[in-house]
Amino acid sequence: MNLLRTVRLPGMCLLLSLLAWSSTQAMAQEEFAALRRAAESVSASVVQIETTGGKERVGDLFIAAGPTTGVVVSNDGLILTSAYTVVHEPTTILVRLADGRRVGAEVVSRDRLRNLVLLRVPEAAGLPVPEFVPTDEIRVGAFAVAVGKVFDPELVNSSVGIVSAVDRVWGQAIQTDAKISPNNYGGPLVDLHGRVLGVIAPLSPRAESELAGFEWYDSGIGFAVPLADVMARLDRLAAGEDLYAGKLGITPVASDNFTSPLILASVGRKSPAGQADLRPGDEMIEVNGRPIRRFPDLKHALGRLYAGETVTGFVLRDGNRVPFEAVLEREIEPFRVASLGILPMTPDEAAGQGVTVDEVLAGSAAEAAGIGSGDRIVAIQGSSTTDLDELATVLAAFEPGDSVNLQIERAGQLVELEVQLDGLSADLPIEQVEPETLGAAGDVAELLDLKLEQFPESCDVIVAKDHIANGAAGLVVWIGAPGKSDGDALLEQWGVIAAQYNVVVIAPHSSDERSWAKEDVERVGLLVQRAIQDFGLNSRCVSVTGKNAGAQMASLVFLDVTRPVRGLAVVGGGISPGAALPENEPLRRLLIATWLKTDVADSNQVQEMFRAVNERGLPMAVVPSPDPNDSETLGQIARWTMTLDRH
Amino acid sequence: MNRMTNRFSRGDKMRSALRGWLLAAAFVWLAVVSAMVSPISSWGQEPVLQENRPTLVEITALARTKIVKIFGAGGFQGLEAYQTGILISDEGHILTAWSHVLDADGVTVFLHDGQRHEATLMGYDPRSEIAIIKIDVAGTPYFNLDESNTPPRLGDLVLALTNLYGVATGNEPVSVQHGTVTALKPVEANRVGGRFPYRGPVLIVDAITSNPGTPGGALVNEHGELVGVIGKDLKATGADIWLNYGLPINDIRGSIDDILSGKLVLDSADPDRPRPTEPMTLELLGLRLVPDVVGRTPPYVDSLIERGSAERAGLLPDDLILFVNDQLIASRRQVEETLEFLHRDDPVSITVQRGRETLTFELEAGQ
Repeated sequence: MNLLRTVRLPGMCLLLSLLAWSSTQAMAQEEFAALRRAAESVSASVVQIETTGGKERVGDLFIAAGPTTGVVVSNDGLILTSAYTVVHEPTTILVRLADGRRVGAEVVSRDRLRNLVLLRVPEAAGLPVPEFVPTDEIRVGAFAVAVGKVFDPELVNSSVGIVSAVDRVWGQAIQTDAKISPNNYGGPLVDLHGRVLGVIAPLSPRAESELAGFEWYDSGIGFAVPLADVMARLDRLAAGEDLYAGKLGITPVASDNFTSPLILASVGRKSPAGQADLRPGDEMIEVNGRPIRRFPDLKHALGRLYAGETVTGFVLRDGNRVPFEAVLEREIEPFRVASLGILPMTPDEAAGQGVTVDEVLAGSAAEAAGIGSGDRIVAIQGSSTTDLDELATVLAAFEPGDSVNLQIERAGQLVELEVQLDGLSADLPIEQVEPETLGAAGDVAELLDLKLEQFPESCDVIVAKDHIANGAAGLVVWIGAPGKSDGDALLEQWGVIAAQYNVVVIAPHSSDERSWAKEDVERVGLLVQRAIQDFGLNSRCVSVTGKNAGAQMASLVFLDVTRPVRGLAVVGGGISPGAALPENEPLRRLLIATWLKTDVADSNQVQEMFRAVNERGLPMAVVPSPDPNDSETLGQIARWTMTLDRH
Repeated sequence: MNRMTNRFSRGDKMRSALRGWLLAAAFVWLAVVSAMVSPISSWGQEPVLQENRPTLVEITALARTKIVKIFGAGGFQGLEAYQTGILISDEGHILTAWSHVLDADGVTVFLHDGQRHEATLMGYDPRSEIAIIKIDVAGTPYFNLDESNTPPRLGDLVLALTNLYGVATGNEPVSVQHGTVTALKPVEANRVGGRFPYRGPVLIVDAITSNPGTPGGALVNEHGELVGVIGKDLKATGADIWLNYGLPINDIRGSIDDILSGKLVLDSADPDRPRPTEPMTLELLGLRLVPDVVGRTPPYVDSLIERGSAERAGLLPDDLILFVNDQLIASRRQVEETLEFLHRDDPVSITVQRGRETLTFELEAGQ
């Protein structure tokens, strides 16, 4: 079609193209000039920041010591920059003023939520404070220019983009497609008039470290913290106060965070929510004027707020809108799971009408209250407990030490008992089932192979010959040394134990012969799900056991919240002090145990680890073991796995 | 996660912008002719630099209501479990990239306002690698393909609307990026598991769109019209770089219509239906396909058995199998599965894509 017209009107086309070309060129030049002017107009409020000393690398990342950028935020010499500027903990911070002078800067305070740092540079007093755009006037699709001063203390470097989105990273940031990198971290993102939209910082909705989001540099995605949000808190920062994320102290009941209404499962009594008299069972419907329908809505409402700030809102309680007001806090007392000390019958024929007790753990609250095997728990404190999920939800509303009224059905009679709840313990139950002599491993169990279509690696499985896929058997995920495992040795080691304690054992191989890699985590997670499905296992009794080199890998599998792994067992080692630990969630009910030689178990290092885990509210047991390699330890791990579903 | 997608684009932005303009100048006659067809060009004439740039902001605001986030299979081996989709009817027809994400039993769609819907796959076209899924809604905003007919030109401003990096959590709408059309040419490109089958010209843009979550995203022009749909990750064969590209919407209308009319539907036959005791095989047809490396390896002919039926009929290496007896073929694996239901004595009709042609051959089992 175009070609035809070209043929028909060649002269006119030539004329038009000349006209259009000159006008396009003119427009382009004007366009670039205006964007350049916008960047330059803020130049007097932008400084170059240099650092000396400090670490060469942070985590796995080498930190280039090149200059970064900062924005003047008050005329008495306060300069805001990204935490990236000081992530390597430099010994000296120097600000280069436009006249070329280098002057010393000191850190006044930090915004730990949005990864910003406030610097004081007395010599910068009098530098102009730029105009900023009110947050609600920032419009998606509008031009945005990312400004840095890393190449020259006088001249800005800039990258043109548009506002890609607002309210990103749980309401903390503006997103832009301008090229965001260390070339402009700490610098301003400005609109066409040179007004500051935000301060550029690496951020990520999935991680909170000061380097989160760094991997996205120059990838068409970058973030800036709305300057208006910072200015609203400048007094606190200028007074030297570090700002932290504000926490409310609730945990939602939700199998699917994206579909269910936000019902509170637990409310820490001393937490802001508890102080505001929020209660388990309340449905959160509004926070700070924002309607709340799902859990992510609450994250959006709170994600932008700091400790010390007040939130108001409404919950729905017994059909009534009940207002609340809470002051957010930086640290919330960890949640501790309350427990009766029973193991439920699995499978349970009474499911739907109560939870049948299979075993009462020795020394537990249940034992003290006189609960026995075969009792059926039908209600706690008036709330029905028709199945295990309901029992867990009801228990989550209580704290260890609370006294509750328990309704049980015993031999057809309804009986009421008072129970003082324990804290959930990770201890190995006292009575160990005495090992029986079942025969040789090869007689009672067999070695099978489990393979996922997507992956070339296989996985050895030890299954008892009399295994029944009725949802009763537990799963032990054995993470040993990297490389190929010896299936026959594994059968020898685990065969009798698998048959005796009713567990299936899977031993995934690492993809790299020499070491376990992070990439293996997802595969192991998928193997867990496949094994549960294929062998008809009890998904509430799944542990991952790491031995020596496998310990770290086991921790990573344990941390993967998308998998139903409830117990972490570590043999012959500890959890490294720097290891990330999961949040204790009332409904996940995680347990940790380590098997250590007696002298190691008493060491300061282990005590330190024990304390760190305990601070999270996570139950942990240290089991002294004369020889962590012997079959007695493996038997204990199998038995422990089968008791993970303790309530 | 980060594929270091855009290493090549990290050059001086001014220089690359200049390059874009030089390119635009080289093709300026084309732009002018198109300008006669549709004389409004906001890039050139509208007040792009005036207060708050209302046009782009408004275009973005409206376009964002027509884009959805799609969540499905993936989440392992570096394959994301999310992508983007474009509403193309007020009844919930969604144009997207045909990828592993749609392999899930339950594909979930989030509208711009956070409304969540379960989607069903209507069909796909392996030639253009697009798919259409459907959700059960009425009255949603959508791109009317019958109205969007401004052909894209070099130098055109484009906005890319995508579920970039899955960064839009919960109810958040998709991300928008800006760029220009820098080339409109067919490309030779590869990806893990195969070649890029599409032979027509593609829109190469200077927005960085080759990133997780962007497939199925929209390229929208300065009039707010849909001009392209972003395809799956591609690496240019020559330069070995990730391509920021889209399929021109006007050129894939045929694919879209074929899917909507039911011509390119999935194999709905019962997989447990009886199979012949002596089924047809690739070997009997004299065909060797490329090795089956990923779940969705495209069924390219690797080589032909000498004097076999396929060779005699005229098939050639590099032909891409599209249909076996009118059955749309999705992958190498599906060719074999389809043959298992055919008796070895019956003739087989195979339709392939060769270059830009579609050819059909009648084959029968050799001895």
